[in-house]
Amino acid sequence: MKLSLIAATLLLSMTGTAVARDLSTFTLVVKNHVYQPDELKVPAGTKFKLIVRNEDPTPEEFESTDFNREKIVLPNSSITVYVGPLRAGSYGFFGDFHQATAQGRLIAE
Amino acid sequence: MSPSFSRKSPALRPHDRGRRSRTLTIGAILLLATGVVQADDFIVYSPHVLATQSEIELRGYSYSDPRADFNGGRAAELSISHAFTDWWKPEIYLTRYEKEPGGSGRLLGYEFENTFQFTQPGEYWADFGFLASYEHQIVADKQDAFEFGPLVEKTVGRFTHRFNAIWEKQVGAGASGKYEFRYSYSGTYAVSAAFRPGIEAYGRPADHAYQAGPIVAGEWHVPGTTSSLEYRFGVVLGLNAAAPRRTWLAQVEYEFF
Ligand SMILES: [Cu+2]
Repeated sequence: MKLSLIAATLLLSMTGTAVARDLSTFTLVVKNHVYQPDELKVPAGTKFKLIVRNEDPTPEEFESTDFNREKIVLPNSSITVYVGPLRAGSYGFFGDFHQATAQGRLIAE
Repeated sequence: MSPSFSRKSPALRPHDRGRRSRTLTIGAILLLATGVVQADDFIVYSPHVLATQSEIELRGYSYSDPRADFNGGRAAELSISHAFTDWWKPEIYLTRYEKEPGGSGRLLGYEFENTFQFTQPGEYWADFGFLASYEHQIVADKQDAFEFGPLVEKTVGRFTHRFNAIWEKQVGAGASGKYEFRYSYSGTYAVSAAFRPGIEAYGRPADHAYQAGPIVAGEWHVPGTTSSLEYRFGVVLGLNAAAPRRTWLAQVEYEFF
């Protein structure tokens, strides 16, 4: 009982802080199977939100091996991706369905 | 899902009346001696659901252990799934094949499995989801079963950690009434999307069976399409005598949108 109370409190405070903390937000646009911008500066050491908007008539999969994310962006819609905290450095991402053109990097600093 | 066996158990056919009572007695002794005959499906589920994705999946395992309790045991299953939303993925196991140690291969039945994603990847300290499935058997000596439990995933850079805790309860006439608990862990490192080596571990306390070993998984995108192939191969070693010495695991998956 006591343990579950502690666990619940911990969980609540964890989710509470994550929600309460206003995350900075950055936007990426996919158009003609290209990411705009293809290089995005983001803060190191803190979690942030990426909005990925797909303006193409075909679906794209936003994916990164460097920061471990994979998410579908349907045509003419947006998704939110939570990223970080990242150490300072450069992290690649790509569009899984158009890897020849849809390539980009996050520069964490 | 779970192809519900890990060790040799008496194969009962309804028409084998003559041998049945003796087999039952032996079965009861076996159960007492070795604990509950337990299921495992040798997979560590991710809580992530990729909206609108469909999958065809084939996976199986095979024991490599000369002891009679395990020798020749293997199972395989074929399933299809479709994620209708970004939080719900139902999956139907069309075929579930099993060969018990010392027995012959047979088809077990069907399963309806659901993955629910509760949180967005990276939104909180870890990502949470839930698994709930119902297993229908078409063989006389196995019970239908209900299975559920939390799915947790945490990514740190290129590392992915997954943890599942699953409770299984038999239902219907002759059901044991007990909840059988098992848990599993997988940790992988993404060298690239196509090559993610790591380890998996499985624990079935009711069986006193503990296993762990190396695996490799990956995804290969089919160029010019919205589909990809995924694979996972590995071998988990018995950490104690009640677990099979080696269990070979294999999984291939075709995903499309
Ligand atoms: Cu992908």
